[in-house]
Amino acid sequence: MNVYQGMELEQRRGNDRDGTAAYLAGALTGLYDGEAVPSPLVGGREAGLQRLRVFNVAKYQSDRNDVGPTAGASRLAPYLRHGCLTLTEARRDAVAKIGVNASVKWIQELGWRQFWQLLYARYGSRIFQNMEEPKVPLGAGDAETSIPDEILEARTGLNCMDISLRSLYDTGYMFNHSRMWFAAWFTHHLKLPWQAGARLFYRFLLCGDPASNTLSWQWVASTFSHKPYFFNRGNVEKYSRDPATGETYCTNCPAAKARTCPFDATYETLGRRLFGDAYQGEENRGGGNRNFGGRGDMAPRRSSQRG
Amino acid sequence: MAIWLHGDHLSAANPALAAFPDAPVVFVFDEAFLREARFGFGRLQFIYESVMDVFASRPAGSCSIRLGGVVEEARAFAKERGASRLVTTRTVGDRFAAYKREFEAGGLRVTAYAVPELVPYPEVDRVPKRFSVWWREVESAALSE
Repeated sequence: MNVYQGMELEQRRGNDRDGTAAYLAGALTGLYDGEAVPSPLVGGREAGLQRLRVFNVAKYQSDRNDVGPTAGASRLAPYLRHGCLTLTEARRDAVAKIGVNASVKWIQELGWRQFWQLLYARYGSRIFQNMEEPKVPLGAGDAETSIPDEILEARTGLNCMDISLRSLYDTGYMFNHSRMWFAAWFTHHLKLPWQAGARLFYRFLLCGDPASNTLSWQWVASTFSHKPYFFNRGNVEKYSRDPATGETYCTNCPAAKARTCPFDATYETLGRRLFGDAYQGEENRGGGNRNFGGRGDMAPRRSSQRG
Repeated sequence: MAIWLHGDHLSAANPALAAFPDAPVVFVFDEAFLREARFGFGRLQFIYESVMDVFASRPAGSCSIRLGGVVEEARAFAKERGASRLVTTRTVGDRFAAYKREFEAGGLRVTAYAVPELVPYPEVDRVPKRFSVWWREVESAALSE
């Protein structure tokens, strides 16, 4: 039985996005979280095509992991996730611009999205539980486990997290590399259940997708990979550097100033601190390869698939 | 017939819309699902704008966007337009499969068009658990000129 009274919504076209937001805030009362303001990313195929036209796929090949002013990320994920653009269109555009050989990384990232969808098709709702035994100790809980207020309010005191979380809440977008940092911190430092982090991303990312998002969290957690993903401060500094000023996320970070940065160590030291005896060392790292969000912005420390 | 548009293929060029350029179209915000999921507002506006972008390509008066139960609303829309068949695009996930079954149980025929993938991979039950293994299988197709 339908317990909901159906309702016809207005069809608002044109560029008055704030007016549309005000209308939707009323019509959809009780059905969303966060402030009723539009994301800077405009929905629709037309907006997606515009973004595709200006997308610098050559820069993506080289700067896809950057999160600062030099970021090469495409920001096409929301359009691909909601089918405003297809994977084949995104591939065709890159090949037309710079040829197939120069577009390999991008095409591979598009492949990740299809791969996650295929896994979802094969395994169904099993993807929401551990796909494999974790390779390291993980925190207990599930998707309902409560998330600390500091995270929900983007005031963790760690710039690399707070900048990324503000972007998530304010725009519905977060760089892929930042997603990985956050997921690693949430899962391996805070020992919170990956399911709760996945739920948070799923709710706020414009590109939130059950398959890509869930399986990417499992990749970080090590329940769908050979080993956990984690990172250190050097990685944050390298990829957040503003070449004009030399500043990074760490430059004005309260934790860096107080010397309490939890990432300021070598990979060996961090690995042993986080995982104890389950830590397998660095020599075998980098065997995995992933993409948070089903497309787009490449994972760091990934192995090359092509030579 | 009528077209049921859902949130995974919000493009005026999707195969269902392209096949029937004059057919009536309905999109339903799934109230029960949204109440549970608690998406950020920006995401709902993004979806709404994407739906409006699709509607802009269709004949005036042929489209409807609703809030409520997906099956009930789409079924009511089909009835209003005298349609005994729903056309849509195929997607992965339990909700889509459940809605399709419910439409059919209610007497509507459902045709779900496939949206082109990056590479053809019909044997879902063969997909390996590691991307590198899968990529080796499909690489030549994905990187063909």
